[in-house]
Order: sequence, then structure tokens, then C-alpha cells
Amino acid sequence: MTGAIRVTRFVRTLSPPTLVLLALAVVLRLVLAMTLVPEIQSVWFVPFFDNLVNHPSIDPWQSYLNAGGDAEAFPYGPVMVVWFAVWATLTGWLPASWGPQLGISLGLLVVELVMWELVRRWRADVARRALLLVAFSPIAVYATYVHGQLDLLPTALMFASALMLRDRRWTASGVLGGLAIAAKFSSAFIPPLVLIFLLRNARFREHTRAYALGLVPGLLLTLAPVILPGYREMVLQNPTSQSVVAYALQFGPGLTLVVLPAVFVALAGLLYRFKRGNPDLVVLIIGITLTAVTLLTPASPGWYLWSVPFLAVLAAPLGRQVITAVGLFWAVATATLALRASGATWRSDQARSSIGDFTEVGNFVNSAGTVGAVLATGTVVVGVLMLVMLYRRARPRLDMYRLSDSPMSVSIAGDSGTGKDTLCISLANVFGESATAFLMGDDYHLYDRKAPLWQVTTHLHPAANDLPTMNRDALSLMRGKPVWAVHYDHSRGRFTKQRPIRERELVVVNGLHALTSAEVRRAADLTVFTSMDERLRRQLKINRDVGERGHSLAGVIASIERRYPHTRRFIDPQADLADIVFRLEPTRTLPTEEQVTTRPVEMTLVAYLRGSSFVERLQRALVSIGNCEAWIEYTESPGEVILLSHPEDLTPADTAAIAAFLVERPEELFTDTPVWLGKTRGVMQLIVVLALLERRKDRRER
Amino acid sequence: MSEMKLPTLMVFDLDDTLYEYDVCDAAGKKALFEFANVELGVKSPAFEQAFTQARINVKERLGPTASSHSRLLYCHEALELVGLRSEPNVALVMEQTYWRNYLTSMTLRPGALDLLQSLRFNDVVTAVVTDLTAAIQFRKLFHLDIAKHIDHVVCSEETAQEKLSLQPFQLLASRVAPESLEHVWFVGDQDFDAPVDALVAQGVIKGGHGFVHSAAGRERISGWRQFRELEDHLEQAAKASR
Repeated sequence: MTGAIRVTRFVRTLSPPTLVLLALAVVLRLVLAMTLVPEIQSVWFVPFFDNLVNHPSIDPWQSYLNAGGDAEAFPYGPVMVVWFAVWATLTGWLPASWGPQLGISLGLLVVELVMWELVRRWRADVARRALLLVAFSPIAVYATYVHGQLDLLPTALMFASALMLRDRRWTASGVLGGLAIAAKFSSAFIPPLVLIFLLRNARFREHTRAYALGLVPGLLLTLAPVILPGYREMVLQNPTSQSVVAYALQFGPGLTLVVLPAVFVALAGLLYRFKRGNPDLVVLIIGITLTAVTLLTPASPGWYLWSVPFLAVLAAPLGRQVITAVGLFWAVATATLALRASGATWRSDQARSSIGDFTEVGNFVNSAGTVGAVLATGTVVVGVLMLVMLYRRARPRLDMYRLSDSPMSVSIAGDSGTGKDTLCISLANVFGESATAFLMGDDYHLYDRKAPLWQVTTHLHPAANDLPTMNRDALSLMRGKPVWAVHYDHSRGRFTKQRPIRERELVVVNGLHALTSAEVRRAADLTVFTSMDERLRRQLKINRDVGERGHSLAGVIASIERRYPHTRRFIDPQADLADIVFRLEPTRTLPTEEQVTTRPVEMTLVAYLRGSSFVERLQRALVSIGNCEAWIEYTESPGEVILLSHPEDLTPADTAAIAAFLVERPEELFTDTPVWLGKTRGVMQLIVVLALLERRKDRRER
Repeated sequence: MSEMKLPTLMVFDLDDTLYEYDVCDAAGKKALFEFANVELGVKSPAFEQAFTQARINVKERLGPTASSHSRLLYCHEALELVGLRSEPNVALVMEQTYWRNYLTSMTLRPGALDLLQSLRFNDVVTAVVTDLTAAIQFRKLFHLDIAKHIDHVVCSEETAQEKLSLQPFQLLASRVAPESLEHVWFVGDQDFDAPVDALVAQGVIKGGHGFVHSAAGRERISGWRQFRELEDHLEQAAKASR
């Protein structure tokens, strides 16, 4: 039933021409499965499953060896045995020339169709192209239905594991990755890459355990049969495993560089460099690794299958050139392999033909001469060029905001009580607290609360702060380096011991003087200045200090007024240096008499934006999706606009919907569900996030 | 189809013409039923039935008026039907939930923008005449970012009755210059979006042509499925007029 629903969904999401092409691809496979008998299957796999069906055993490998079978016949783990044994049994009643062999072919076709569904699910917008690529991949058709390899099963499991990884389903990804290893050892290339990624990236590190636990069933299935002698001889000691070290460079006596392990370590190192990467980047490296294995070893045709779905989904969105390069690579590789590897016999001739000395993959230079050498060289050259092209085109798309290069950064300045801290918390709500590093200006005050100096100056004076250290620490964090800083404990008015501030995906510098340094402003992706209608700011301060903290009204007003000269002299000028200036204004004029009021104040948000091109889109989304008043005023300064909004009825769900509509590739940015807020805080979140992302993209494109 | 004249005015329907309605409605309803399930504790089949019944009730009571499509009234009625009486705030939140999700699923049909730009290039006056309340239709037009390509918008909320009564078309005719009514093209998904014969008979327009999804062999009506087809007709008409 579920299968029928999935098939219906598969069919409904594709256009009729695509369905016709896919149907043709299926018919081609069925025709090949019916008419051809791959030599490798008739010599190796069919006798193995014949023996298994007729003499069931817990150690089918030893049982086969005891019956005089070839030790190289079935070097695969229990998952392969179970899957194909089921299909061989289902067709075992057919005449001998069809029997288990047709079952194996049908088992492969079913796996391939499942793989197509996984490819379709990868990305809806390019599903058609990706599907057609896998369906018409010559290497997939040749290696599976002509040469007869079984690698589609571990390939589908590896790809399903990658899909789960992409969807942040860590345990499921581990389980499928483990099962892929239990199907074929070579799938063990992948989990180390995933583990490096998880351990290296702070925001994903907590999921390492889930992934590792997921691997356990597969690893147990792989390791438990070690007690079986047949498994040890046929699977563990299979000579094809030596292929991974077959190509080596001799530099002289005692110095040999084995190519594949060196390249694998280099690719793992590349992944290690992505400190703030995302699962899509891991999939890119996996795709490159699996392709590199075929280029750097005397690979069996089956090994070429491993990368097929990965290359298809990676190339599909990248345009014609990359798709052509992938297609060309597959075509050249298929021609090369067809010259040197074993093929198939017609089913009708099977009884008459006899296969003499069977060699799975021959020495192509001997058997194909110059043509073979040229084609093999062509495969490597085209393959390498294709991988370089794929990496260069895919990387900017999969790491759109270049988080893997450096953290995103925002520097927020403004007078106290204007909403700096609130804005910081709002940003942490979006990006996640564990992904946000805060550098607080208050930690760089030179004196604690009890210092007598405050009788003659205020915190607003630059001389009362260690700004050089604050700016140096801000730059370090923005460059991805952790810093140590004391913390100003507001409840006690004292500084704590130094504590580490670790680098994160987002660095927020928040302080009265956060925009005074030109270097910090240049290094920050976004600079923000917060301000407030003065009557509103005074009212909110009176409500807090008099209403909540019990201070005298006269004392609070005196304190506010004592700060004015320094505010005007040292804080307000930073507004001219910011990319965004937020100003909160009361919607209705506040009463002139200053006293505590519990009446909520409706606010209008005025945002001055410089050099931002998202403003019209945001205004449209606020009005249409959010049903919120928003309009734009164009100022006389080129590139500066004012976005005014009255978001009193904007709900967190509205903000979330607008963000989902406007933010590209949110999966790169958010590990958990971002917490979007309503009213003015929601609009401020949207403005800062959109401005930040726009600048990150612009920096990348420059 | 005989050779066509370049239109002086092109009148578009909005819902299920400039964008695909079903996808948006499905997204809106899905979110609405989820809201009812999570926030009101009314499971989906029960609320779905109540919502469907509410729609029928509202339409029966109001007849062919703009308010008969009001999701706010449907939600209000559905809350009554499930026994929650009147909850104005909840009804408002539900209405916004529906439209928010509806709008985020809404995209212009392929070729619509090209056609609108071609019309502007050929100095053809453009209008949208649509059956629903003005606020949400304006939100849709703003969301689709086509307001700048449309010269006139008439919503059935502005008239006593809907398009079937011809009143919204008559209102449009009163707003445009008389020369714009010489040869009017109508584009929509249903027959009542293109009442060419009736408007000619009433003297509202002098002539014109309609494009609806099922033409059924009428002389002044053609079928269409893609905007590209309409743009081809426009290009041919523009060539013929030179």
C-alpha cells in the first residue's frame, strides 16, 4: 500500500515527457535483464546463490567453498547475501537458464528504482534533470545489466544515508551508512568523512553520538560474521581490496606514495577545514571521494556506480556544462571498461556457450592496445576536470554565505536602553544560542560600579572603556579565533574572572562604542545602530527603574539627564557610520508628565537602511504575507531608504512565514528551528538577518 | 480562429488565472486545519467538515457577493458549527493563518509577466476584474508584484454583485477612457470571466474576444492554457495592425 502511494506520488510529480523517458529507461533495463546474462553473474553469483538456495547455511560462504566454489565469487557482506538470496529464491523455480540469475537482475532493478525515488526527493526543482541523468547514465546501465555488478545496493544505501544526513536525520543516516558497509566494505569511505564534519562543527557536534549509534547495527552485521571461516576467506581476504593501494608513486628507495589514501586524506582535510560547514558540503566531498576512488584505482565497473546518484544530484542544478562533463565522464569510462572488463552472453546462447578462464577485469592495455590506453587516460583526464568543475560550481551554491570561511558578524552600537540587548537576544533566537558568540561592550568598562570615577564621568565616555582590547577581541572573533575576556556582572557591579568566548557561526559585538573602530566596521558584515524616541526611552527607563526597581523618580530623571552630553558627543555620531539605524517611536504621542505607566506602548519601527536591495521585497512580504502596515520613504542620500512599519499585529508565525519566503538556503544557517518573534522585534529580526545575508552573498560575489 | 485585432483593453481575472489557485488553497487549508487541531483541539476531519459546511452556509446566505468568499466568515461560521460560539480574535487569527500560507505558495503563472510587459509595450490598457473582497485581492496583487503592470483593478466588493451580474465589468467601463472599450480582450478560467457577447449587447464595449479554459466552439471565445499562447495572439495582432 505504502509502495503504491509512493509510486503514485513519484508519477504525479513528474511531467508526462519525463515519465515517458523514464519508462523507456526502465524498458531498456528490462530488455537487457531478459536478453543478457552477465558473465560475472553466471560464473560467480549464480553458482553462489544456487548453492545457498539448495544448501541453506549460516555460513553461506564456507558452504560454497566446501562445494568447490571460487573464493572470489561473492566478496560481499550479509546485507547483499540476504537481499539477493530473496530474489534468487523468488525466481528459483524458473528453468535453469533463467532461474536465480533473473532474480538477481530484478533485485537490481528494484534497488535502482528505489534509488531513482531518492534522487527525485533530493531537490524538487531539479528532480527531472537529476532523474534523467541517473536513468540514462551509460555506466549505470553497463555496469549493472551488461557487466552484471551488484554495487547498486550499497550505492543506494550510501545515497540514502547521505539524504538522511542532508535532512538532519542523524541516526537514520548512521543506520543506512552502517548497512551500506554491511553490504560492501568499500562504503566505509563515508562514515569517517561524516564524523569529521560532525566533530569539527560546533553546531552539529551534539549529533555525533546519534550518528555513531546509528552505525552500530551495520557494523555489528559486518563484524559478527568474522567468526565464520567462509566469511573471513571470501569477504575479508578478497584480493580486490588490494586495489585501493594498487596505484603508487615511487619517489626513490623507501619512499612510495600510495595515491588513493593520500587523496582521501586530502579530501578529509578539506572537509576538516570547513569549520562552519553544512551537510550539503559533506555530500559534495563524498561525491568527489567516491569518484576519485574510481580514478585512482584499477576499479571494477561496479565501483563507478557508487558516485552515480551523487554526481547526478550535484550536477543537476549546475547547468549544461557540468551536466555535459558528468555525462562525458560516464561515457568515456563506460567505453574504457567495456574494452577491458567481462561482458554478457545472450540468454538464448547461454546453454551453448561456455566461459573459459573468467577474468572480471582484464589488463586493458594488453587486450585493447592503444585505444584502451587512450580511453583510460581520457577517463582520468575528463574525470579530474569534471570534478574540478563540479567543486568550483557547487561549492558557492552549497556554501552560499561562505560560513565555512569565516563567521557572520554584526556590530551593534547605541545608547543604553535603546534595545541593543533585546536585538542581540532576538538574533540568538534566530541563529540559536549555541551558534552565537557575544562580545559585550560592558565587559570592557575600565572600572566597576563602586569606582569613585563615575561621580565625574559616565560609561559613555570612551576613556572609561578599554576600547583597544575590545576592538582587538572583536576582530579575533570575526576571524574565527576564540578570545578570553572578563565579564561585567550587572547584579554585583563587579568583574568576573576571565572566561573564554568561543568562535561561533555568528559573532555579535554589542556595546556603546561598538562602531567606533574603522577596522571593526570594515570587518563586520553588518553594522547596526539602535535608537529610540527620547520621550519613549525615558518612559521605558522610568517604568523599569522606578516601577520595577523602586528608585526615586527624581533620581532616575537626574541620572538620565546627566548622560545627555556624553550621549550626544560620543554615542549618537556612530549612527552615521551604521548600515542600519533602528529607531523606535511611539505610535501615539506620550503624555508630557513623566510617571510610571503600565499602559502598553504601541510602537512604530523606523529603519534607515543603506545599500540594501532587499527592502522592497521585505515591504511587499510584510504587507501581503504579514498583513502589516509597511511603507518605504526614499531619502536624498543615494542608496538610503527608510522602511517604516507598524507591526502591532505581526505574529511570530507571520514573521516565520516571511522569513521562510525570503531567506535562501536556510538549512545552511539554522541548525534548529529558528525562533522568530512578532511585532517590532520580528521586523528587526527580519531586517538584520536579510541585510546580513545580503552582505555575505555580496562579499562572496565580489 | 479568425485574425484578431490588437486589443485596446485587456481584462484579466485574478484567481486561478494569473496564478494557480488549487496549490495555494490547499496550503492555506492545510495550515488552517493544523491550527484547529493544535490550538483548538478540533481534529482535522471534523474541522474540515465544519469548514466545508461553513462555506456552503455562507454562500447560501449571501448569494453571489464578494463577502460570500470571505475566509473570515467561513472561519467564524466553522467555529460556531464546532460549538465554540463566536470567537472574533480566533477567527481573525485563523483567517490570517489561511491567507499567510496561501500567499507564500502563490507564484505568477509562467509567461504572465512577459504578457503584461508586451501589453504595456503595445500601449494596451490593462485591468484586473475579480470576485472577492478588496483587501485580500490587493494583498495578492502586491505579493505578485504586478501592480505596476495593471492600470485598473475592480473587486466585486465594490459592486453589489459579482462578475456573473456584469456589474464589476460595468464599473470598469465607467473608469476607463471610452476609446479603451473599442476592442477588449478578456482572460480567465471560467466563462463568466469573458462575457463578450453580453457586454457588447449591453453596449458596454464595442467588440472584443474572450479567452477561457474551455472555449466550446463559440465565435468570440478561444481556449487557452498557457500565457505564451496569448502572447502569440497579441504579437500576431500587433503585426497585423502595423
